[in-house]
Amino acid sequence: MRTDAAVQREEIRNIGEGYAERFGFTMPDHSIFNTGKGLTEDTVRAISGAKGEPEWMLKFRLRAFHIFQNMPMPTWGADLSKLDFDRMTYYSRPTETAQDSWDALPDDIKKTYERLGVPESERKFLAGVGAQYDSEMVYHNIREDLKKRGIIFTDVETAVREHSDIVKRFFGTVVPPDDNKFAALNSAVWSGGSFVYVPPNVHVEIPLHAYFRINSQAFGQFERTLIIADEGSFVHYIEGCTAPIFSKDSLHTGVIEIIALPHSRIRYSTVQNWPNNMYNLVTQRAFAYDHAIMEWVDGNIGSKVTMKYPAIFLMGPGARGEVLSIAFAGKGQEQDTGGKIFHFASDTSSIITSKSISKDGGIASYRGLVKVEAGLSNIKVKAGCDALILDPQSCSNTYPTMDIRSEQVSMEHEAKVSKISEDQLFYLMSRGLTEEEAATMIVNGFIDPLVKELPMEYAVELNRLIELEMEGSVG
Amino acid sequence: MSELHTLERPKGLPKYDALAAFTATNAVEEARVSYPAGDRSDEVRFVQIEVPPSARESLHYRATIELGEGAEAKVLVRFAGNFGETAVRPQPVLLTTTLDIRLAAHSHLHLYVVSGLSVPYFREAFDRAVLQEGAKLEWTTIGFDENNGIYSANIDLSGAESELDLAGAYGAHRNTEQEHIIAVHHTAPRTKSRTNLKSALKDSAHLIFRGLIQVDPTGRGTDAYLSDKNLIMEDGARAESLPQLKIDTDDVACSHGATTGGPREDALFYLMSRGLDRDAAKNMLVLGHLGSVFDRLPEGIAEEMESAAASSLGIGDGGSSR
Repeated sequence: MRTDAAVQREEIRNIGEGYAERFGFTMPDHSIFNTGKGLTEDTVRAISGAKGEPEWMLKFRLRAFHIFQNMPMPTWGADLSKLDFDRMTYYSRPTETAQDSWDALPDDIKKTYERLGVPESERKFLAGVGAQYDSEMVYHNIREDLKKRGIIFTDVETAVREHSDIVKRFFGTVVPPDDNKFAALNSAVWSGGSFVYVPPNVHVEIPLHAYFRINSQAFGQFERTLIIADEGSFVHYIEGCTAPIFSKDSLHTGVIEIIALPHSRIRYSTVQNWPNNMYNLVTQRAFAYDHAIMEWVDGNIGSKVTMKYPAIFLMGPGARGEVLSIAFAGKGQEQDTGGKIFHFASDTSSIITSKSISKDGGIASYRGLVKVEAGLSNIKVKAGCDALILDPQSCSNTYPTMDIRSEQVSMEHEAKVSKISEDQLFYLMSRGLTEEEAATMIVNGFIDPLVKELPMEYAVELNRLIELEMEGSVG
Repeated sequence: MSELHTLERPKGLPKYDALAAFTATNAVEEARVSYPAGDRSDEVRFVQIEVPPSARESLHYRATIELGEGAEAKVLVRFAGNFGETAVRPQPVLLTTTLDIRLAAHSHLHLYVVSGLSVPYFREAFDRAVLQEGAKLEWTTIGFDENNGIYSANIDLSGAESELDLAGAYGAHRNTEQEHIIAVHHTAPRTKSRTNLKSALKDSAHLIFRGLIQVDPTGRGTDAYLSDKNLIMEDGARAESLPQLKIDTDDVACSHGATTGGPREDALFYLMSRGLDRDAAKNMLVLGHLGSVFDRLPEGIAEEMESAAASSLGIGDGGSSR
C-alpha cells in the first residue's frame, strides 16, 4: 500500500541519501590472494594462473592486454581524466572455491550479503543466485528443477572448465577486446561474472539473479557475463551492485555479452547503485537473431561516473529490441547513459526509452545511436528521451545519433528537457493536492514506465525511491 | 561549436580554426544591407551572390545584414552559379560564404536564403546571427546545392525575449555529401527558438543534420524546439541526424524531434487510388513534405524554388506531374 504523499516526497528528496548507513559498511580484507596494485603482463598471467585456465584463455587475455595498452582513452563522454589505472588492484580472491550453501561461506562475506538481504530474497523469489565478492563468485546456487531441465547458471571460470565448447564458441564474439579501451581492459583481467545457457524451448519462469559487491579500496571489478538463450527459450536475468564508501576511487568495468538465438527472448535488468566514488564503465551488447526479442532494463542510480549504453544488434528478420534506461544524477555525479540499436535485417523493430533526473548539480546525459543499414525493408524505430531538472545547478544533455540508409523505414525520435511544469502543478493543486504532493505525483508519473518494467520483488537491493515505487506498482 | 562535424573535408583544405579566421578577415564583402532604427520596409530587398563557374584559388564571400532598433525588413539572399555537368577536378577548391546578421533591440528581420549552386567547389558556410532584446528573426533557407560542403549557422539569442523561427528545406541527389549544423545558443532570459528542417534525398546522397540547443545558466525561461524530418526517396540515400540538447538550468522547456523514412505506403495508396501512378504519387508527397518551408517564401520566389527543387530531385518538370 502506498503511504501518504508527504512521505513519498521525502523519499524523492532522499534519492541517493543514506547510502553510507545502508550499503557503505566494509568488512576487513581477508582475501587469500591478490595481485597488488597496478597492471602489467605479469598481473594478467597471475590472474590466469590463479584460475588454472586453459592456454587459449591466457592468449586471449594477453592479446586484450596489448590492445588495452595501445588504445587511447575515449575523447568523448564523461570526464575520465582522474581515473588512475596504476592505483587499482585488479584481482583479489576472497575464498578458495565458490560455495553453494550460505553456511559454508566465510563469516564476513555471509554477513555482508545478509545485510544486503541476498539469502532472504533467494528463499523467497529467485531461481538462482550468484554472488560476487570482489573478483570471484563466492556463492552460486541454482534450483534443482532448473538444473534438471538443462539450464546452466554458473560463474564464468567454472564454465570455462566445464562447458568450454560453448564458452569458446561465443566468448568475445559479441564484444571483442578491440571494441573499446574498457572492453580490452576487461578482456585482459576479467574475473567472475555469470554464465547462463538456456536449452532450446526452455522457459525459465523465475529470474536468475547476480549480485556484485566490491569490498576493497581502490579496487577494480571486472566481471564478465555471457548469456546464451537457445532457440525458442526465455530467460530473465537480474543484476545488482553495491560497494562500501572508500576515500579512493574504484573502478567497475564489466562486459556483458548476450546471444539470443532464433525465437528466443532475453530480458536483462540491472540496478546499479555504486557509491559516489566509483567509475562505472560497462560494455553491454546483445545479438538478436531471427524473431528473437532482447530487452535491456537499465537503472543507474549511484557511481561517480557512469558510461553505459546497452546495445542490441538485430541480426535476423523479425528480431525486436528494447532498451529502457533510467538515470539519477545527484551531487558530484555524471550519468552518461543511453542505448544503441543496429538494424542489420528486414522486418525488425526497436524502441529506446530513456528517462533521467538531475539534481544538486548532477549531470545527466543521454547518448544514443540508431543505425539502419541500406537495402532493408519494414523497419520501425522509436527513440525517446525525457529529462527532468530539479534545480538550477543541475545539467541535462542529450546526444542522439540516427543514421538511416533505407527507404522503407519509419524512424522517430523525441527528446524533452524540462523542470516540473507549473501547469501540471497548478492543475493538481486545483484538485486539492498540496504542492509537495503534486510534485511527488509528477515525479512518480515521470519514472513510471520504467518502474513498471522492474520486477521489484526480486531486486534485493534497490534505491529507496524505486523500492517505494515498486510497492505501488506491483501491488 | 562548428568545429564539431562528421563530414571529412577534402584533403588539402585548411583546418577549421584557420579557415574561420581567414574567412572572417579576408572575405570580400559582397553586400552590406543596413536598415536604420525605426525603419519599416515591406519590400523584399534582393542580394544576389554570383559564384563563377571555375576558379583556381579559394573563393570567399560575405554579406552583412544589420537592423537598427525597432526596424523591420525583408531580405532575400540568393547564391547562384552553374557549372553545368560535373567535371573532373584536379584538386578541391574552397568556397566560403558568410552571412553576418545583427539585429538590434526589437527589430524584426524576415530573411530568405536560397542556394542552388552547381559548382565544383567544396563549400563552407559560416552564418551567424546575434539578436538583442526583443529582436525577432524569421529565417527561411532553401538549399539545393550540388556541391559537397559543411554549412554552419550559429544563432545567439543574447537579448531577453529575443526569438528565432528558422525553417529549412534541403534536397540532395547523386553522390552529394553535406553536413548542416545549426547551433542555437540561449544566453538571455525568456528567449524562444523554433527550428524546423526538412530534407528529401535521392540516389546516394548523404545529409547530416547536427542541431544544438544550448541553454546557459542565464537562459532561464528558455523555450526551444528543434526538429528534422528526412524523406529518403531511394534505398542507399543516407540521412544522419544528431540533434543535441545541452541544458544548464532548470527553468526551461526544450525538446527536439527527428523522423526519417520513405514515403508512407498508406499515403501512396491513397493517391494511387485517385488515379496517380506510383512515381507521380511519390513526387507529390516529396513536394508536400518540403511545401511547408516553400510556403514561407515571398510570392513568386516560392513557385520558382519549388520548380527548382522538382528538377533538382528529378521529379517531373517543375512539378507539372501534379
